[in-house]
Amino acid sequence: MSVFVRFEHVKKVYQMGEVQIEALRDATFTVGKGELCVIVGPSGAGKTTLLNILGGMDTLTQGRIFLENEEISAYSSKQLTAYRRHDIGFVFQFYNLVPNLTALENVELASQICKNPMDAAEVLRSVGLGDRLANFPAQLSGGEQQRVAIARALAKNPKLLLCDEPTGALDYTTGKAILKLLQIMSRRQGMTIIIITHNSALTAMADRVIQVKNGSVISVRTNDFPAPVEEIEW
Amino acid sequence: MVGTMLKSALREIRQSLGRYLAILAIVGLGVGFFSGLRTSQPAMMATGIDYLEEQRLYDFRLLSTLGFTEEDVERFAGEAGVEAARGAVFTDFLTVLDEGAERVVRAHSITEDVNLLSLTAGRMPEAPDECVIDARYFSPDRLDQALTVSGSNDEDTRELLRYDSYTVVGLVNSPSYLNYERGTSSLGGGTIAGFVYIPLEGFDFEAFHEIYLTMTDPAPAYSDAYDEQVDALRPGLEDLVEERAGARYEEIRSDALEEIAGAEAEVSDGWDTYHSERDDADEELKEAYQKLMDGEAEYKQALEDYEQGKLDYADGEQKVADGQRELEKAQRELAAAEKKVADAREEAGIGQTELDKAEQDLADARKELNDGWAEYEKAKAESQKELDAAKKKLEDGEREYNEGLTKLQAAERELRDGEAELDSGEASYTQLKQLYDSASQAAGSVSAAMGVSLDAATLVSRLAGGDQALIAAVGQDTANQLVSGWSAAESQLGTSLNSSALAGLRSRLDQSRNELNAGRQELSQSRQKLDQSRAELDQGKKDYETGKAEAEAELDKAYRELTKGESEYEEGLKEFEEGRTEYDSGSAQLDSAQRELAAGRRELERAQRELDSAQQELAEAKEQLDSAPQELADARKELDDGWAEYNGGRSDADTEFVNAETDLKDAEEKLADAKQQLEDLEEPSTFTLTREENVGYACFRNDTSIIEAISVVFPVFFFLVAALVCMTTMKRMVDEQRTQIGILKALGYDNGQIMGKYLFYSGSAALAGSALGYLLGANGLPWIFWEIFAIIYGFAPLKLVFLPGMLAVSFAAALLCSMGATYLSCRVELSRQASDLLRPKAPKAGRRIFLEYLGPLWKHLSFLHKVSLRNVLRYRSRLVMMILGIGGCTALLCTGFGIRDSIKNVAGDQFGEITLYDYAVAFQKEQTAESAAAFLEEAGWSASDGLLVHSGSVDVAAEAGSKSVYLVVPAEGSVEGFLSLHSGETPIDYPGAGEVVVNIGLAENLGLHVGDTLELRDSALGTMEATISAVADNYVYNYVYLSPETYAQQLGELPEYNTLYVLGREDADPYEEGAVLLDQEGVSNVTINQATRDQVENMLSRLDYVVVVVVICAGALAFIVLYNLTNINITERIREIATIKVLGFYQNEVASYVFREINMLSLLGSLVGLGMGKALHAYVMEQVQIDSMFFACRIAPLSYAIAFAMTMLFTVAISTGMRPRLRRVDMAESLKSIE
Repeated sequence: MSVFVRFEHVKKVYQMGEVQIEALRDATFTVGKGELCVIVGPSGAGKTTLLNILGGMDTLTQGRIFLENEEISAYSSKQLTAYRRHDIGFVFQFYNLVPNLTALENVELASQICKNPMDAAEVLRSVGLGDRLANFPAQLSGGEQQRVAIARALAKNPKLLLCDEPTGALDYTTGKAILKLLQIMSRRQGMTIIIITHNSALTAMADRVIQVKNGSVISVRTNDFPAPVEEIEW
Repeated sequence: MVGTMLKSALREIRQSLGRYLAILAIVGLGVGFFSGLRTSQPAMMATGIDYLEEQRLYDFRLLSTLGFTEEDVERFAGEAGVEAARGAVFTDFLTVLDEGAERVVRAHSITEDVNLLSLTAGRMPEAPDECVIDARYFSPDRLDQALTVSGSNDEDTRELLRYDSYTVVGLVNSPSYLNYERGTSSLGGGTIAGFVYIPLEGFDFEAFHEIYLTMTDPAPAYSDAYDEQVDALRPGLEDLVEERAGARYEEIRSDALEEIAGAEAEVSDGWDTYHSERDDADEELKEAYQKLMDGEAEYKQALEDYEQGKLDYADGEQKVADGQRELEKAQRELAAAEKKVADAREEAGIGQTELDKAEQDLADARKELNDGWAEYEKAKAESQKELDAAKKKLEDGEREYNEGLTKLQAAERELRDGEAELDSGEASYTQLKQLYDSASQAAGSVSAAMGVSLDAATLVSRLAGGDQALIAAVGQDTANQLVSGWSAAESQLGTSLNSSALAGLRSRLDQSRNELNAGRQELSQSRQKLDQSRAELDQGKKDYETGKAEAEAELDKAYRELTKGESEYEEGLKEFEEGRTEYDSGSAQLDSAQRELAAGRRELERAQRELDSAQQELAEAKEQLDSAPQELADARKELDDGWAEYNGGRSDADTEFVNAETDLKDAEEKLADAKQQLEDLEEPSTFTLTREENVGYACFRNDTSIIEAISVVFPVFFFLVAALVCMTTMKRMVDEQRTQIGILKALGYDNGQIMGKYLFYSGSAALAGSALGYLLGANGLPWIFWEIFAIIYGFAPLKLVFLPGMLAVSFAAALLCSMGATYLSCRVELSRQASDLLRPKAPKAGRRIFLEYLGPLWKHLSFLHKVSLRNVLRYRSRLVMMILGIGGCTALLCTGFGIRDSIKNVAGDQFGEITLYDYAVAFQKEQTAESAAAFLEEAGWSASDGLLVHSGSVDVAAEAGSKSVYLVVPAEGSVEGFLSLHSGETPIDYPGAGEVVVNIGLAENLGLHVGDTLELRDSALGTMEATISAVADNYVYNYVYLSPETYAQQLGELPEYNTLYVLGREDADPYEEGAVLLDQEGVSNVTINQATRDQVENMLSRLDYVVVVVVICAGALAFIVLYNLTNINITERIREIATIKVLGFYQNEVASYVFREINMLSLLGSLVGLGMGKALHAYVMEQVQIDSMFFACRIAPLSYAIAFAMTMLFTVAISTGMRPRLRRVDMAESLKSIE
């Protein structure tokens, strides 16, 4: 598999008042195209920092990041915005739907600003919400909201789908269903998906598992036979 | 416990300082405005009232056209309720100010205890020739300088002012002149520049012009109590003024009458004396004159006689002399004649002898003549013989000469023939020679060429022989010429041609030439001889002719002499015979002459005797004449003396009488004047004026009331908005601190304690805001307004007033708004269970809005717009707050600009569109159309420039009340060209019989409508009724218009036409023209519309400052509201904003996502605000209505546009200012859990 995402000695230092906090140090790894990658580690390990930087939401202090040989780390703030707009799909832990837009409109919120979006209703149907298009977020359950969030991310037809604890706010079953959906998307559409979680049980479903601890990548391993989600227990 | 909560609350304030300050500011604004506006008017009024009290402005000002005496003043001082009465004098005069310009100033006498002046510089006058001057008009530079009374003032004014110049010792403000208005004058340009106060002693006056009264214990100025007090005192004073004026009138009148009677008697006595004396003098003079004239005639006669005598004497003398001369001449002639006779006697003897001798001479002459004749005949025959011989000789010579000439001519012909022959021989020779030479030359050249010797002849012969070689050598042509020439020559010569032959020929030719030459010489000698004989012959002929002529002449002469002698002889003979006859007659004449002479001698002797007697007579006359001149001179002198005496007496008498007459006439004129004055002396007009008639006093109240009017409405806005700001802010805060509230609740705090924190938060903000607002507002705003007013008033520094009630109300309102809003916001949350509060709040449900049901429209909106629209409608309180706040801002702006729109054109509209005439001239007496026309022409106008009207004051009674208005009744029944009656664009016909037109201000004030019957009462309590036919636009003062017919019908008499409306001339200065009109006789007052216009415009110009204040407030309001809303919007939607940022929205997209909503609200708010503005403006205008002014309630479209644009500008400014805050929103926020 070709290398899709590449981290080269990435370092991120936060300046908190007079204290310098090293969130990432010398992170180096790659993710192949079409892979479902799980980045796992405990709270404060630097997962989110990693995701922020990869998602173009934050800049790094040292090192380089490539997406399909494009150096993200060299982008200007405006280029980063365009990068987020066209290349990245983001699924948040707390869905972050706009409360006074319907499910369909929330998807459209993303699709209307990118270059070749998928049909919003179609995407919603594909995540199993064909009959909830006109509902406002408040009228949807957590799982359904997260599905809308995923649909919103997918509708942009992104090169890379980033998921931050997608099941964090969901109950077990719903969480599983969401993960299933992500796995299906990866398999069916060959989409590169990076999931960040503190739940190491999820590593079983990944093509590649990157373990992070104290700001360092401590292991990168590939999983030749990822388990279907149904088989995973936690 | 309380400590913890307090600490928490204080910390809260520190953390959300923006919000806290927003509440503080909006409350401050509300309180500041409320207190400021509320305090302004009372503060200004208090300042004015205190000032008036301190300066003791008069309560009554009494005027009488006849003035007042000291006694009058005392009488008024004694009146009950009157504290002080002071007589005063005033006059307008021209003074020369800077650069020689003349300005009108009004001089007042300084009064004690009333109208006290407040010094701003210098001191009060101590000497009568010192003065204090207007601090508003003059600068302190004038101190210690002289204020001179210009020489161009009229005599009365100069007399009234005791001195020609006054030293300026101080600058003052006068309570009589509260505002800048100084009034008008008939002098100079018509406007009074400033006032001057001079001690009473500085005036030289007969009577006081006015009396100022102050009341005992007066109520504060402008109060109802004061008005009541004035009203109570007024009637008594009015009566008294009239009484005193009447008494003065009577006194003046009776004094005048007495004086007139005395004067009249004196004058008539004077005339009597004058006439009798004059008659006597005339008689005397006449006699003297007659005597003198007689003497003059006598003298003249004597003079004439003398002159005649002189002439007669000279004549006589002349005649005697002539006679003498004639006599002498006659004697001389007689003697001469006697001598002549004697001489003639002697001559007669001599004549006899001469006659005898002449007879002898005649006989001698006859003999001589006969001898002459014989000699003449003999000479004649001899001369003929000689002439014949000479003639014959001449004829022979002629013949000889002719023969010689013939011979000579033949010889000459022969010679010419010989010469011709020789010439032809010569030519032949030349030809031959040439031929021979060319042949020789050819031969030479041939010889040389052929090497043979050839001579010419040989050559030719050989050529002729056809020798080809030679022919070739010389050429065929040459050969032929030579051969033919040669043979011709030889035939001519007859011999062969060679050199010898040629030489022979040459010598023959030369010989014949010589012979010819000899012949010629001979011939010329014979011609010479012949010519000589010719000449001789001609001479001979001439001699012959001469001799013949001479001989003939001689003979002729001799003949003529003989003939002459013959005639002389004849003559002598005749003379002789005549002499003989004469001699005989002369002898006879001599005899008669001798007899005549004897008679003449006797006559002469008689004439001598006559002459002698004439001479005797002349001598006597001479004696008489010599004595005459002396006598005449004496008579002349006597006469001259008489004349001198007469003339002297006469001129003395004339002068005396003229003087006497002038004196008498002057006395008569004065008497007539006095009578006229007495006749003109009208019943005095009196005026009892109160402070209300003082422009400054009256305007001050009106002007300040404007502020009072707007002080109610505006703050209400601010309080309302403040409440809404509090509400939204506190609601947001409670929402944010939901968990905290839950925890507190869970910890066991009761609702009250928790609520306390929030109440403290908002309450403290409100309290601080109120305090700040009050401090700034109540102190600042009145001060600002006073500064603005200072342009017009500025007589004293502002006195701030403290109004505790107002303070309490404003604080209470502020606290109520803020804490009430807080309570309402918290109550709902606090009523929930703690557990409920600890759970995250369910996201507020999205809600469909009504627009979504408008399918097609909704679908066409991009959903960023949809989001905004939903957001706009999601929070009602914010919507209301925005609409009220933003709308309020727009409304305030509309109102501010609208006030200006409504008021600024009042003067322009009134005097540009309605009142078309420029001057209203009020007359002292009623006028007719003719007198008005005459007046206009006198003043320099044309009669068509004026409209005669009755202008008076009437009371209009209606159900809503009564009002005093101006009544206008034009003499012609039309006001065309002088007033334009219209309602909007529609012109109004002048009311007909039984109709009346009223102005709109009056109609609105009294609730009058077209068709209503209006009752009018004039000052004489006459009542008129008329139906309102139309309501006319009018802005300044109130008018009702009637036709003369209506007036006459209702009151039974025609109105008194006392006013003339006059049109100004183009480009003329209205003040100068007004002064010209005022200067005319019979004019009591001239209202210059330009002055009114200027005054009104000046008064209204300060409204611009009001607009500025309003704009600033509106801006503040908009900023606070917008800031608050934006702030809330951002903090509330941090997560949403972070999310869309993560989704890749660009900065601008993020900004518009947030601000579009604000923009929409602003748009909506300002649209609503336009409507609110219209209403607010209408309300304010209603409050602002100044009595006697009507403001058309209108807002210009441009003002709406500006208000709208400014509001939007505020919105954009706030959005721009808040953008950095959006940029600072961290995308990581999106990852955080929901609180």
